Amino acid sequence: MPENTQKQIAQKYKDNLTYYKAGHYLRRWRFWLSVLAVVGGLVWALGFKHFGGSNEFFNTGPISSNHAKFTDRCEVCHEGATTDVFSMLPVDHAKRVLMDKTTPLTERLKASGERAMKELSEAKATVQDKAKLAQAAHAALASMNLTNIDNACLKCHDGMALHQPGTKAMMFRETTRELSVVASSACSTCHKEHVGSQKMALPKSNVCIECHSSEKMMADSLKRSPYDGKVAAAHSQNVRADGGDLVQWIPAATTGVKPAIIRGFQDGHPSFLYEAQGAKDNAAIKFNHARHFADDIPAVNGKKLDCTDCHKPDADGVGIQRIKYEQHCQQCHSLGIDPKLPGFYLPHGSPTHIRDFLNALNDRWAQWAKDNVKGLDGAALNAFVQQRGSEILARWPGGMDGAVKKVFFEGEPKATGNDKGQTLPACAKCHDVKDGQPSPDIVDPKIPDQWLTRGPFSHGAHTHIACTECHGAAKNSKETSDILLPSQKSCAECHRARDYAVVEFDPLLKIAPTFGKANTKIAKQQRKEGGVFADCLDCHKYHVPAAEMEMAKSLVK
Amino acid sequence: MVINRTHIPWFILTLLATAGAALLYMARFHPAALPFAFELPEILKDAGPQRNTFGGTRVGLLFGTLAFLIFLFAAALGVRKKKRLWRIGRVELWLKAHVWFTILTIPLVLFHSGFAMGSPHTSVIMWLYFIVMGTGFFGIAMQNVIPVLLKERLPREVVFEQIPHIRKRAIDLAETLMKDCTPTVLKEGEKPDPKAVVIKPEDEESVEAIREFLEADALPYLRLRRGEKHRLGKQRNGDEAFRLLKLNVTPKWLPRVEELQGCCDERRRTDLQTKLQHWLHGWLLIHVPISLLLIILTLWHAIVAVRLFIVNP
Repeated sequence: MPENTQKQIAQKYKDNLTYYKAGHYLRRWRFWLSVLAVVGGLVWALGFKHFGGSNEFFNTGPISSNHAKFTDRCEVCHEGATTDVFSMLPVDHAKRVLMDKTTPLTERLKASGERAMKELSEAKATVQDKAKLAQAAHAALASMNLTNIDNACLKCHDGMALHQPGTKAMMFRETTRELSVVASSACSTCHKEHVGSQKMALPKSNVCIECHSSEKMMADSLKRSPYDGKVAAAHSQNVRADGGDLVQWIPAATTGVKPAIIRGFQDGHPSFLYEAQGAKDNAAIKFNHARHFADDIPAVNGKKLDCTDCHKPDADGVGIQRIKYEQHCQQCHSLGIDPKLPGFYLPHGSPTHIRDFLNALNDRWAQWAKDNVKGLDGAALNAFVQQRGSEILARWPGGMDGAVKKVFFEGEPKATGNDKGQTLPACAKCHDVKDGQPSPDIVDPKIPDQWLTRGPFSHGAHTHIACTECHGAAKNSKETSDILLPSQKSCAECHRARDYAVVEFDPLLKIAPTFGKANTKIAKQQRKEGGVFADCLDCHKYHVPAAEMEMAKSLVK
Repeated sequence: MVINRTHIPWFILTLLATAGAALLYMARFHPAALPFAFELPEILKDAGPQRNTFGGTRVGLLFGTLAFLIFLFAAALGVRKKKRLWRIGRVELWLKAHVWFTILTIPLVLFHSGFAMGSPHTSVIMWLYFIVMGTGFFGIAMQNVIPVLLKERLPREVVFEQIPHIRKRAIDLAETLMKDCTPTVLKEGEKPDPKAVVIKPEDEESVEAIREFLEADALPYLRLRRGEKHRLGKQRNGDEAFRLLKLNVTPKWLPRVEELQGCCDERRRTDLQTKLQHWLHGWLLIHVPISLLLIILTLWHAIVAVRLFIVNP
């Protein structure tokens, strides 16, 4: 029966006018579920560690195998970190106040309250100091950039300077302004942790390119660290690294150069510094490559002289063996001072040794005779020595001074006939010789062992390419100062993204390793298609131990 | 909260804020993808250009902090509803802000997290967030649909909290009718109740029919917790059953039968109203507690993340 009037409708409620006081069951359910959620959440958060909760719960991703031993020990890297929220509460203080039986509880609470108020007022005073507040805020923000975590990295990876070129040779990058513009970013900028349990991968090119392709970021780097040029060399140098045996070519200082915007090795990568105008090989040696390829050069071991007769790969195939006189020159350019005595050579090396040799020529002749002539008695030996002495005095008048002049500066014209390869080119033919006493001085030739000093270059990976494809200029080079290395563009012909305009798209296709004998077909194909991958880190290395960096700076003056 | 034209400014505000947040995100993490140059404010620049975490960067922290403040504001709506006399803006305004600011947290949370779930801890938080936002959107949908249904299908809506009382009243009425239809058997020496209904011989068939109907259908239906599945729960079945009953009773009993029919009709309406009210408000049983849990876990996340990423002084 439908109600028709408000009065009739109201009749239904008349016995239950206080209904709103009881609350509806939906509201009651909501309230108690909310209480349960809040209490449950708090118990979970505060008691997480006490209920045996693992730090893994907060792990954003698997730890790499490099750092696997630190799994569940966040504090090793995240210094001061704790996932135990309960430990952050002043529970101990509250316990001390409540458990102290020596004074009444009211006084204990009062004392505690007063101390809290004092701390609060001190904190307020600090906050009211705007300068201090700004400073604190700045410090807090600065600490949030994660650079502090680098300290944890450096605990094990001792003394690594951040984002600095690596290898000893690369330390000489200080001669350019490049070192001064790099930003010291956090380790985690390039080395990603918590991304998988495999070995932590080295940064790929895209990580480098993210910064190096940003004009603004590079310009900002220049602003961040203006270069004073104090340690720059005005011209290129050939330097003995660490004052030791290894000789490296160091480019001249370049100032006022805008940092290159690099999107890839084939896109924006600058020319190699040895390609710079005016760059030269500073080796103190006189060598004419073109002359050695000339048609009138006699055959060596029955064949025409070739690059690999002198430039031989070293044992691991990475580099080329150093040129040594005895190994690579002597066969044609012996230091025979007596054409009639085969194998009677001046020593190659220290001028003092040469002068000592000349001073003791009688003894040397006698020794040669004992070694090479059979049945020679004392009288015959004396006669042989006197004969050699008188002949050389006739050729080199002026005694010892005359001999020194001939050996070090003048030499002797090549004998004809039966000289058996005995020639005496003057030291000065190949070396820079300075007159001096007691003997002239020969300038250290410093023939570079390394040119691409920024990272390792392996000849072993390029043996399928003929030498002249990269070093073609050698054929016509007459001066030692000519730098006969390939241009960056020449390298980028192969080391670039695959050109799918000329080859069918196949993302899985990789250029097979081409170690082995020269194969012009493969070399040509690589030049045409590209696709021979080269990561930045294949050539560029970073992280120099800080101590070595200081040492490097002291070397370049 | 009915979504209407008054929400347009809020929609635009949220859209602009999302665009701003997206600009900051792109400028910080994918500057090359921006079609124009945009320089971040100095305070938002980190020392390093890239981290393996989004939330730990200054821009990421900004997104996270804003999202958390919005969470707190959203939770304050419950307090605002309780304290209706506080002069801190109309509840309607608070509700609009609640809806649109929490929608704004979607880009903020995604940008803070870098579109990743992160650790198991943050994954739990993200799932809670999805639940809260999902129930929130469901709630908005219900609030736009259910009131229309209530208006169309329930012209005689009753005070929701009175429904249990109304049902009890209907049962009482049916039980009274049952009592009136039951012949009184007097024991020896017992006097008849003067207020008791006297059943005349010509009414006996009517009374019998009513009693049978009450026993078999009406009382069980009215006593059920949920009556939709009962025969009388359907309007057509109910009307048919009462039509037949009315044919079997004398005119004297017709008003009582119609009164019983009114109770059954009302019971049917209150069932529907209860059902619709559950759809209208039931989502809050999930939305509110999970929101509170979300706030606690987010606070926990903030504390632990800060302790992990900022060296303890």
